[in-house]
Amino acid sequence: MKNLLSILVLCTGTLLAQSGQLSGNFQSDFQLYLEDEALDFNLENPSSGFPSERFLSNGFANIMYTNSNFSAGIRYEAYQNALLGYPSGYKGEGITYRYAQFSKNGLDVTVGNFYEQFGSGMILRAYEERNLGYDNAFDGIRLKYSPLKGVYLKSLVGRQRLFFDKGEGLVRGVDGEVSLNEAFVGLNEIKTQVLLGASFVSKYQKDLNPAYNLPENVGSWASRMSVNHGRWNFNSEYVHKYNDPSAVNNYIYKTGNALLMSGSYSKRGFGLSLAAKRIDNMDYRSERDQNLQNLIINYLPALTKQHAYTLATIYPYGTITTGEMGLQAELNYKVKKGSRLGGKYGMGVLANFSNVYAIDKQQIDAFTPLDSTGTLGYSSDFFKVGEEKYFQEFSIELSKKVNKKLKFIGTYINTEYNSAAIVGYSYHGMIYSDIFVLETQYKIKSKHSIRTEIQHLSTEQHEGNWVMGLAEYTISPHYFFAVQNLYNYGNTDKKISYPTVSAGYNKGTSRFALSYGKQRAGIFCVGGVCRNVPASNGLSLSITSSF
Amino acid sequence: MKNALLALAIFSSTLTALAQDKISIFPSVNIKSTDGKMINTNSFENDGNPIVVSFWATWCKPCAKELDAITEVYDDWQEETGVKVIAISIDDARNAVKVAPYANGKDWPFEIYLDSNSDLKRALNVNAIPHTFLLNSKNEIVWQHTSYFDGDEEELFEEIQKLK
Amino acid sequence: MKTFKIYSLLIAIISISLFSCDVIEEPFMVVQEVVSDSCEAFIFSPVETYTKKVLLEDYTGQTCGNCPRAAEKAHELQEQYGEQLVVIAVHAGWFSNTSDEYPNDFTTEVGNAWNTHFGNSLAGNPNGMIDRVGYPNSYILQYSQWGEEIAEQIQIEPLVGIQIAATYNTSSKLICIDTQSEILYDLEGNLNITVVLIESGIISKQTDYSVDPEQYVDDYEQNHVLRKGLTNAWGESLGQETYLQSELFTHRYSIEKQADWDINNMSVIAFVSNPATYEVLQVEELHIID
Repeated sequence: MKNLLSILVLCTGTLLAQSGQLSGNFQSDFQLYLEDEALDFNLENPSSGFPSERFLSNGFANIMYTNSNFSAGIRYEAYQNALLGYPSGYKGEGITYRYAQFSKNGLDVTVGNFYEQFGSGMILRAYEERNLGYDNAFDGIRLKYSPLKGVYLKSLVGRQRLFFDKGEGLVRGVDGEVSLNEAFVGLNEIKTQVLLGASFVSKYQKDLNPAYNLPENVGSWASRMSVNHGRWNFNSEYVHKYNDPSAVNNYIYKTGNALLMSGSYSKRGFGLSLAAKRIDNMDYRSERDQNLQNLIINYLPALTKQHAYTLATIYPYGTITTGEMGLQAELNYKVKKGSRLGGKYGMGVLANFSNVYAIDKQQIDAFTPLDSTGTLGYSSDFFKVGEEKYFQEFSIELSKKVNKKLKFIGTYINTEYNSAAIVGYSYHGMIYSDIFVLETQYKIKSKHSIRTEIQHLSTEQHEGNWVMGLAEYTISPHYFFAVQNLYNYGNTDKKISYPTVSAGYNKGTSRFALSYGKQRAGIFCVGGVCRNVPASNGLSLSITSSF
Repeated sequence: MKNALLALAIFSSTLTALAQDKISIFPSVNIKSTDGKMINTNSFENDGNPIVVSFWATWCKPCAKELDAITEVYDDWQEETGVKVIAISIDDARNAVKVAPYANGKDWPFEIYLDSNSDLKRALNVNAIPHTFLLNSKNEIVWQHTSYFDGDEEELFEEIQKLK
Repeated sequence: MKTFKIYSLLIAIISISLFSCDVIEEPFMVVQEVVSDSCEAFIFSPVETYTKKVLLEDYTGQTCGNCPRAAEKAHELQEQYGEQLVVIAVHAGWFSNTSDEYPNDFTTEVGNAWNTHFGNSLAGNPNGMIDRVGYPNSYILQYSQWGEEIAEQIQIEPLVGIQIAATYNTSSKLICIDTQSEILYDLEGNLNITVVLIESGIISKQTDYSVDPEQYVDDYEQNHVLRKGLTNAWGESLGQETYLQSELFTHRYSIEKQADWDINNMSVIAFVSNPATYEVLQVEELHIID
């Protein structure tokens, strides 16, 4: 009833205010599931996840009204019922997001739902990743204020979204950022740009647990710095969290901390970036007994390359929020036109290396096992790398245009993946894999082009080798058609192939896509959380649009 | 089931109707330049010439294809229409440090900004990237397009030429 | 005016940071009840030889439709090995959630702590661990793998011998437990003893995919259900860093029987483990009522 009222108010408001503007977007996904013998995907096998509804759909629409300094919006979401692989909490329909925002003279006030990020997000980040079902939006009040040029302050109080409900815990936060060059007149014109920032976040949840003496207010602070000097760039952020016993850290009382440092140098045709991080007991949620991707307050980025090729996403890394340390380096280089390697159009080189290790953990005393409930858990030497390797990857991508019509992109990726530490596979060792991809882009004639991918993954562990082929034909600006097949030919149990055909139509901001085929079982990772999605077969339709 | 599809058809046609011939002002949102400065999008300007705003990310292949394709014809476009391209990355802390090296390594001649918690992306109702907007001299959105197929830049250029 | 604004904001920030952070000092756990005075010490008599016993932890749940297969396997293995195999059914994780249809809560603090630490329910139930061997790599075993691992562990000579004595007072409802751990070889490193109560023969509803078409059993018999930890989840240290052959360590526990426990079907399980590797060196089980 309340929701209905809010729509009504919003709509009438909109109609009255002729000078404002209305905008929005929507998306609907439908999937008809078909039984499949090879995948053992059917009603008789309940662990395959085959939905007895057979037909599932997800959808949402955002409607936003803006009138100079004022804006307001709502989002309606419907899961009838949620597509396979979505968190089971998404069930039903309703208004999940509504807000009103007013801004004037540097002051910005939001009431209702909002997304926010302090610094890099390691202390607080509310965001949504709708395709993965991740949404930890706040419901509360936020103020943003810029009292002086170059000084930006934010504060917020709110509770977080938990599917169609809200978490019990309250989150309070303040954040300040100063751009020294803007704030101090004397520094306006100098080449070196310096930004300093600091945040404080605290959550409150009542202690109703009889066995533990729990902190009801869990505080955390962060400080950050960013320095830019021409082609050079350096960023760092350090976060400290006070005692926060929770289901995820096994109710230990150790403080948590995280450090992220990154630097880069770049000029036309050349770019190099380096990043390092250390995370120690930094899982931070507004309810201490939550798990998976629910009610997470902060965002701990995985410092590994994010891949787009299908076979390169079979073994994705997800941050281990209870503790890890890692490095990443990436080089971008464009071999000059006219050189022997570069040829007529030059050649692009993109190389990346990353690794992640456990942190060092020592028993707090000789008699208490590591991570024991109701103790400080462990002690850790900040600079010491743990013995266990979680992940390592090297990749190189070369892209070369042969002539106006033809372009090749070749990629090689070598990965070491500690499956036991990252996700709960039934296979518990290290998975070593090599991936080769050759992508070809060919322009047939104006607006008509064809793109193919040949991919191969080889590994002696887990499910063995995979091969994949894809061909995609596009007619600009409206149509695309694609066929692809994945084949797990190295699997000793079951050699399954996953063919898919798809077609789409685009017009302006609207997009219709239809596909039919099999989907492999897969792992999807958001921040520190990985989720297993079962294999399926079916027909799916997706419609998106914005206005 | 039939009803649902019917409702959907009506809904989408209404939205498509709404989407036609509509001019809207580009929203005002704070984003960051690659050297860390806070910039408000209402400060975008190009001496009365058109502006193209394109959303991308370091992990998005079609985005890179689109910006590569524009890079190749950018000199010609600028000469003829004075257009400026602004490329807005939605990379978050995972990849933010790679944005400037990536764009420079690709030799992109565009202004690059970071929208690291997708505030601008949300304000513009962008569902998925790549998504490209064309702004006229008053910073009004006169055309927009989602996804990228080879040759789509030709359609964009036709729209830019219409503004001259 | 401007400086005033900044100062007022700074003060606001500092005040927020002061009131909204609780730092807890030890002890973190609320102290457990002490051993009741009404328990009398038990005198253990010496044992000539101890046989190695193996601990099988079966991670299960009442809505886990394939879990009865694992329970059948455990039962089959116990028939084969007799008293040499000790089984604990740990109900934890998503499959153990209660609902209107499944009102019984079989989860325990100890079981939840183990499940959180070892990640069993994340790996997909049913599964189990044999003496927690193989941690942290390949320690979670499917029930098809249990037999092989038990056959291997049962060959190992015991390093520690455990004896348990228990009495139950029907009027005070007090269960008194004594344990004695005997070191059988000179050992280096730490040892912890963990003591828990289990109950068998509980009749409750269980999802079972082998039953067509209902997919559940109304009167399923739950056996070896972990009920309560007498120590905390990780046990109590024997208190030394090196141990000499034939050293003896005794511990005493007491607990009041809860109303929903059937004392006739209950056992005490005690096991000694290495806290650094989690590996269980020896386990012992005793029915409270003979």
